[in-house]
Amino acid sequence: MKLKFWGTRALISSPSKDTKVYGGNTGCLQIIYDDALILVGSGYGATNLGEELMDRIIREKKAFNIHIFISNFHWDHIQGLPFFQPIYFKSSHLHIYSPMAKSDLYEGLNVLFNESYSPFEALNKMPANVSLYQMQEELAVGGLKVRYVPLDRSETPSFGYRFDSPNGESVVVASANAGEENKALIQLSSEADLLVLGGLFTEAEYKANKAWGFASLERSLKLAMQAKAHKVLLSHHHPLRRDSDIVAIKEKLVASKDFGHLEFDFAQEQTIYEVL
Amino acid sequence: MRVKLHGVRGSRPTHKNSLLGYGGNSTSIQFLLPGKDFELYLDGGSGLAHHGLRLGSQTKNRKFYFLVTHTHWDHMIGYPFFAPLYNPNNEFVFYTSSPLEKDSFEKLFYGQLAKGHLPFPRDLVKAKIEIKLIKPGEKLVIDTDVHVSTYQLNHQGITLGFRVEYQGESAAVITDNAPIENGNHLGEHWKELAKDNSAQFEKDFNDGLVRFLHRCNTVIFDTHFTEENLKADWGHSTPHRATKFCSDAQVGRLILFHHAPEDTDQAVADKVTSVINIGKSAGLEVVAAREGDEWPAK
Ligand SMILES: [Zn+2]
Ligand SMILES: [Zn+2]
Repeated sequence: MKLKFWGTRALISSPSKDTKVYGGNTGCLQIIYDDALILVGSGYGATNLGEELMDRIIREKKAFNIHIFISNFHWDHIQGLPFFQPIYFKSSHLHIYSPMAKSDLYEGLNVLFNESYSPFEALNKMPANVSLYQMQEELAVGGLKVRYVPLDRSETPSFGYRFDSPNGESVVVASANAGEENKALIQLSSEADLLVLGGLFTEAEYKANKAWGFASLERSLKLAMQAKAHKVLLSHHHPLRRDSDIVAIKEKLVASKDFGHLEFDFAQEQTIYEVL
Repeated sequence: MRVKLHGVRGSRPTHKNSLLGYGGNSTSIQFLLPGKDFELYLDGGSGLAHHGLRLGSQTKNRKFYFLVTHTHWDHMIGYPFFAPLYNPNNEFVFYTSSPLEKDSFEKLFYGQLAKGHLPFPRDLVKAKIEIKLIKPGEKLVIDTDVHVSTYQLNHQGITLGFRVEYQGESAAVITDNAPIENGNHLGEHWKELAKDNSAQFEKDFNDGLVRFLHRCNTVIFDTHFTEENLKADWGHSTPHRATKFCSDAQVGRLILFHHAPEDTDQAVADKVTSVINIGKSAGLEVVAAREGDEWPAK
């Protein structure tokens, strides 16, 4: 299994020469396993993948099955969907998953296609075939076993997902994790090879912005230690953080020695991470 | 007066190494008015979010005017992150058209703040907000001597172009606007309005836009497409169309704007090259909008 971030930003895209390394598109992450196309989140980052897929749809007449897991309806987690190029082609089939009721999932995404906000009419009027699924406890997608837990956010249901391959590799994606201890997430992340958590705020910023409900970097790393995760990638970067800011924060966290031997890094857009 | 470009992309913000020279943030323009103690902006794309996050909620000026062209995402997504909105002592006035059938700016502005779609509580937005409905063609006066005129563009719904005049200088923004030829009538109810005499409707629109831009110092114009890849019913224009309007209207400077998200820096530069001589022969300077740039309105 491999992981590729097409978007790493929280809140709003941050295109800039100062964000070249860590990325400037809102959240979208691809799980690469065999030929399956699996995404978590469909922020604007999805459109850079979409450009590549569109090329193959047009030149190679490829028809794609694309599986998208929705963690919540925050704009930055979904806003790329109306612009995700495969959705303009009849040959594409989008499979969209969430533990929410299908009608809620439809409502939450369909607002993006409102014809006052966009040139479109509705999600179910797009050319691609779009199927929604209410996830039960466990699901098999593209050869992977998928499970989820709620992320304990008060303002909107949010979910973290775990993907296990038949040969024992595992990835957990929960970049909208909240600051308070979440036993279910710790359990889901237990011994995960790669754990993706949120890094919007430092602990000081977290204390000043409690109403936002996102964990601090420090809290995310502590959770990873409790779960005995093998490696952590922090994503969901603040839109004002430049590459140099992220490097400085990372150096401080490493120097603090609070996180023992935990292996961690900040997620970079376009980098492919091996899950070992 | 000067215009400052906080976001120059159309459709969506985008980040890719090949296009960061001109910038990846979506539509946001500021009119800098010397001597005024308020701020004047046009649209709220992702460029406005970045400008606002840097400004913070404690700003020198307390009053903010916004000219709203229309409500497509690329012109809207930045508003919730414009930090001056979080200050209860700030005042906002939005000038917006009133669509007949589609959702109003008011509904969509607050819809963006709706529970579940943002991680912060809705009541973070504490500023006093007033939304003023205007009709296409209506003229406004802001603070006695900033004059604003409007013109309905050929784009979905009711989309407005704006022209701002101050101290004898003028700047206009025409985003988004498609060629109207051959029955490509995108405005709300335009198809019915034009059905008896389509050719006259198109001529009136084009003549009206030339009059609207007449002798304007600086015009920022939608050039999302090129003549080669134009999809007319998508609601956008090309450098050639923009150059034609602006030279017919004896405009001083044309700023190519609303770059397609697919456009690399090279593609944007090529757009300028494709029309620079046509412009020159009409006394029109043609440049490309680059995020962060400021241009005088003279
Ligand atoms: Zn636009
Ligand atoms: Zn538009």
